[in-house]
Amino acid sequence: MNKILILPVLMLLLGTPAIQAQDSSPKKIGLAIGGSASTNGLGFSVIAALNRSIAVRVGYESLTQSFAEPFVYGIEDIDFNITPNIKVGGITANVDFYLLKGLYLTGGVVQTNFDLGVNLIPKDPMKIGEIEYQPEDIGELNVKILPERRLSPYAGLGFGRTISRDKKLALNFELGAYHMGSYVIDMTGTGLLQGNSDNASVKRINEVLSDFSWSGIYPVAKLGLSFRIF
Amino acid sequence: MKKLFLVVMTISFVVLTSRCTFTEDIEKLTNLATDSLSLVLGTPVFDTGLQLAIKNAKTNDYIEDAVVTVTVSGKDAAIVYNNLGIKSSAYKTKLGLIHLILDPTKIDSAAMLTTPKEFDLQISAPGYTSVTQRVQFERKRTRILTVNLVKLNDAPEGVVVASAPSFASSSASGSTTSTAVLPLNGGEQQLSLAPGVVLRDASGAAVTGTVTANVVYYDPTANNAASIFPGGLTARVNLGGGTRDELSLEPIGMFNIKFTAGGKSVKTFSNGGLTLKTEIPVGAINPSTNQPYKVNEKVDMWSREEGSGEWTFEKEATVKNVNGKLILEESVTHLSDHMYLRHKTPCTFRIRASFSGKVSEYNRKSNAFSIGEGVDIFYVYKDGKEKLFDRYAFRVNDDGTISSNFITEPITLDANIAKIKIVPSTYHHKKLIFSQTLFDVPTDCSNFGVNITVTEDVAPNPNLDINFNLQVSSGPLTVKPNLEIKYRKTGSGNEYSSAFLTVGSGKMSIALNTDYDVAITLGANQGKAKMKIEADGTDRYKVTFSGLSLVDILSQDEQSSSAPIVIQAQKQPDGSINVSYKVEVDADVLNQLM
Repeated sequence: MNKILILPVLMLLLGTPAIQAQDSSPKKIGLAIGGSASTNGLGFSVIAALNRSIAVRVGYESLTQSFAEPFVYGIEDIDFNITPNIKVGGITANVDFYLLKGLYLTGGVVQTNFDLGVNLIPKDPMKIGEIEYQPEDIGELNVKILPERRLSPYAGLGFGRTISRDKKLALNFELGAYHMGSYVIDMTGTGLLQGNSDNASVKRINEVLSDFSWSGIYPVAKLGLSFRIF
Repeated sequence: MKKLFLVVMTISFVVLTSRCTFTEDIEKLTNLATDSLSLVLGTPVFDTGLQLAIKNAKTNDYIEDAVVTVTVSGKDAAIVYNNLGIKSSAYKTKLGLIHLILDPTKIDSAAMLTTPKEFDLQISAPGYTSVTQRVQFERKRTRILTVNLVKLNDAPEGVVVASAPSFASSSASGSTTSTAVLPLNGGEQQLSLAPGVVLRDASGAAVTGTVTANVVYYDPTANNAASIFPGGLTARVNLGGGTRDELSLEPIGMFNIKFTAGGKSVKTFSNGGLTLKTEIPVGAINPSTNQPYKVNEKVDMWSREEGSGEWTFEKEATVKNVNGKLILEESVTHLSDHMYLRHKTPCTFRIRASFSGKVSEYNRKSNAFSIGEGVDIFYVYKDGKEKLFDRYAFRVNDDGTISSNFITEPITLDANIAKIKIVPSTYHHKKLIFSQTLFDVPTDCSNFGVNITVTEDVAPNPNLDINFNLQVSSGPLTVKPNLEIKYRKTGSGNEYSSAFLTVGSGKMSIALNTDYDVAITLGANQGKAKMKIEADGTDRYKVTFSGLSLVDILSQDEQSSSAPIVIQAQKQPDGSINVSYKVEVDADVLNQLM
């Protein structure tokens, strides 16, 4: 974790006099507001250009998707209504370092809202013994995939500019990833399914997941547009 | 410079984030696939039901030497199931314990207040007398009901059992050939059949051959009359004309009579009947006059309806003086339970029990269930014997403060009850002390309140607290049941204590190095074992379950294991031990739980 955080910090530190010295434009400092569409959802950001090669971005992105019509899935002889819920995005803080006029490296942190959930409810009444129970009497099961840590380092490579050097508008496309430690599965239940809140198999799966070095990496593809205020 | 920087950054990124664990991860993924996600299911929690304890009236212990059969009939019999939610024409037990539940989807708290759920139990066992008992629920709760059966070859005081293999003989037409007399209790009671009385079975066919008489007589003057009288001395009776009432019975004598001949049971008589004679006990008081019985006074004769078990008025008998003794003598034309009695409006009252006090704080994490301390209410009879009336609970706050109360179901007083005893239940989280436990019964039958201050016995608990976890698994499915484990010291003859497992977890308090009987009833499956916990070093314990047996009481399929199950358990920081037991079973066994 610490090693991974070094990268954006290193980039921040490297964006110092030697690089600034290359910049000969009179218009160095600037401020822009922007919007974006990405695998983290729609968002907005405030971008500050410190000089021609370094900009700082703070923004918020969010994508929430729930499904009105649940999927129906049969387990044994029982049909379950399965409703997925997707929530990604979060607050981002990045430093962009321009290698070329239209190519930049970016790094920073994301306070992620990442939350993938599935809700399972029996579709029809169920018989236990000879007594028929309504779905609400049986209970429901909620399975979530959550990040091990909410505050995650982010790194990416971008094309275009997050803040224009000389004009009002700028367009950028960015590919990157943030690393959330590992994925953690969380399962809770109610009614007859409440025992899943302490499901030993979930604990074992989480132990295995925590050992995967690639687990918890979330890829990001982002298209951004900004308007330079000054 | 720019290119160099780019190369350095790329290499740094790769080195810092990659640990080259790909092959290990593949292996772990393989393991994960085989150790995949399992689903945990609980079993339904039934908030309304009946814990039925069937005991030997003489020994006061659970009947385990015969299979007890319980059939359910009456208004709401259709919503009664066993505790797996399965209906049966006859529920059976070899442990003297049956747990019946009411369909939780068919009961409504508000409706029950005005229209109680009601059904009748017919309880029988080979070699024992039978009992019919009506059960009512005015609200959602689990009731405790203890029913005493009389063992015919080992009857308690107050019960006379007589068997006459050649009581009478009947011709091909079913007509008795001579006078038949069967004296009981030194002649204080007597059955007689005149010649020419025709014996018939339930279908009306003649019963012919040598008639065997089996008669049980219940003595109303016995100190234990209330506990030995089948169904007790308070009953809902049929007064005729569609009128029914709950009455307090003051019997003069009760006969249970069975005649058999040629493989048939006699049900009715024609051309006369069976004469039942009994002496009125000296000093017996007529509740109508509140004076001793006198000649020419009337006494009712009642009989019990088969099926419903309801007492029905038949006729009036007249008190006669024969040789200086007051007697009642009447004939009956059908065979059942017959009783001479007077009755009066029952003395019925409720107790409002208020609890206050302070005990130590509760560690809610150690209790999977809500904190309610159990309270047992007993009848205390004049002969000193006790009978559990019911079990309630009062609420204790997390900080240990108590300010709670409950109101009992109606308690019906009979002449043999001397006191009411209110004590901490054998099922409890803490060892509690009540400021008062014995209470006088109200002479005017009015409701009364009791204020009980609760304190805690803080002396070190000599017992070991066991955190019990039970799981039953089949493949990816695990059932963590909600059930009751009953346990008591072997040979103690005590009431069972209960450990209620909620989602597979519960607590019990056990003395070290002591044998315990453990019993579980799950539908038609009844499990029994002995449990013993021994120290194994300073902080380890050995928990041994032996003599395990599991009976499917309906199919009589019995599985037993002579090999004990031994579980090693570590002492926890709070002094308790965790005992976990996971059973792997076939899918069809699991299906029985669900």
